[in-house]
Amino acid sequence: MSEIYRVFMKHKPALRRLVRRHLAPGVDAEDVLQEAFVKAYAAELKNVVEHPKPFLFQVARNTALADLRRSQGSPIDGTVDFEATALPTHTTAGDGTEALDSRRKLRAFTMAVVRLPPKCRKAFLLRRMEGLSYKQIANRMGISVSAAEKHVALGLVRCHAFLVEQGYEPDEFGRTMDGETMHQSARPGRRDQP
Amino acid sequence: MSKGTQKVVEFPDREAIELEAATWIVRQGEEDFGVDGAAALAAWLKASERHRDAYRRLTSTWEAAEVLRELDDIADSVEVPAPDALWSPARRGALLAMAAALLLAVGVVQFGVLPQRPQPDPSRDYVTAVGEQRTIDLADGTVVRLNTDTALSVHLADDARRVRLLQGEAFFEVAHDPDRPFTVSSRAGSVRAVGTAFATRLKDREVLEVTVAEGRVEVTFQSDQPDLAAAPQSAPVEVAAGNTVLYSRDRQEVAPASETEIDRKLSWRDGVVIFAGESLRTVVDDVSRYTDLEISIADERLESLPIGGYFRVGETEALFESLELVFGINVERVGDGRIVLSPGV
Repeated sequence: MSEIYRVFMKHKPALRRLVRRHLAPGVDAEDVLQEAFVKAYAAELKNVVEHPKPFLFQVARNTALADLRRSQGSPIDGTVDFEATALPTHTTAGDGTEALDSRRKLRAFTMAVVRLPPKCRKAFLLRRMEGLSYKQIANRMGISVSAAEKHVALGLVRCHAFLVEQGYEPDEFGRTMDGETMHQSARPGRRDQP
Repeated sequence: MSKGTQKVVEFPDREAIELEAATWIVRQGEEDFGVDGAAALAAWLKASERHRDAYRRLTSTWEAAEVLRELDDIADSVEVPAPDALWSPARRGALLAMAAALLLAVGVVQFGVLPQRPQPDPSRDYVTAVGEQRTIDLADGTVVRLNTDTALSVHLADDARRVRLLQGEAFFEVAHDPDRPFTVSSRAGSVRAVGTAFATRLKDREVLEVTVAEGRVEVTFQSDQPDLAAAPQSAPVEVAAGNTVLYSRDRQEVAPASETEIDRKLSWRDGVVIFAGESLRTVVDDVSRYTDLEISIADERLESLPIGGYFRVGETEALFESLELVFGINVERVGDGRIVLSPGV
């Protein structure tokens, strides 16, 4: 299991309190929490997180602050803050909705992927995140090509089931590929993790 | 049998179908999937509505999972501090400098070992089930609309863009790129374009119908089948917008078509099939492409009855209703998905 995920689940109430302290009233803490998780998990996938707990708290705090700054509409101040510039959780004009939806989609998928069994998760990410071929995945994991395909297929079924359970309508997702707008109703359920 | 037993049977069945669907979907883009794979997939889809439903839903999820690629970029933008440096600005500066140096080193190493990131597979197959339509955006900017029961494979190379139409019908809005000609090949012939919009339909596997909406294309007999490739080649036919071509090895018919006619031929792109006085035979043949129902005409005299109006893809029942109400045709449902049309009383 992902260490970041373990810490996330274990300290979720504390993380939520931390995030709430920094958020403007009315902003959904759950969105910010998930956003923070996505960032921390992305970093972990690259094997750079040595101390998952303080790291996750730090990322959560930065994410909340960046969100606050953006919602107040103030220009980004003197310090270079990667979180604020590169990772919007709220978007403004223009193609904003699209970016927002894509970010929601990423959060949902990250939460789905992190729950997969280890080999299944690894194969699925190598395929869908890194774009490796099944042959490359098989070599990397020391398994057969058909086993690699099976892991990825099972990953797809489980991710799908998780997303449906969370209230996402995967049909709505796919349409963005067709250049049609994704429905705003494709939102995750708000229930807490078991 | 009790209700409880039924429930037990149904659940694993759904999961099994989803896993089968997923197995098709994840393999679809692979090199070795090919024509055999596409045919086997088409047969699997044809076998059951539940197969098609699972395939459609899981395909959406699979395509949406593309978003995971963003995780890679996000990881790069998240700064990872050492725990004791978390709240100390002074140490943070030093750490950032170290991180930058490390980043440089990593960059150099990565460049040496992995000269390029793995590219997404340039070949991909796309399939639609009976009654399904779908639009795909290719990486070169070309937009392809697939009609019902269609299979095609796409290969985008540096010097050429190649599409194989295995069955069915597709409309291409080709992104202009003179350095990479865009070719749609089929068993019956092939179409070459640089930047234009046209539809191709493979009829009965032997005849290629091409409808040109914009620009011009060149149609040649260049079958993608080895057994036919050796056949004597006929001269390429150049076709401009506003024309349709019926093309096969021994037949090249270019016919001008009015704007209305072109619109009608391409109306399926909007999910509508328009008829303007075609015979009932033609209507039945055309509508049959969009449904698994087997529709037959019981009386010869009915075959030539002219029909006007439109049929919305997926709304086969509404069509039967108007055949009954407007055209006075008797629509009879005979058991398992069979419909028989006969003269009304």
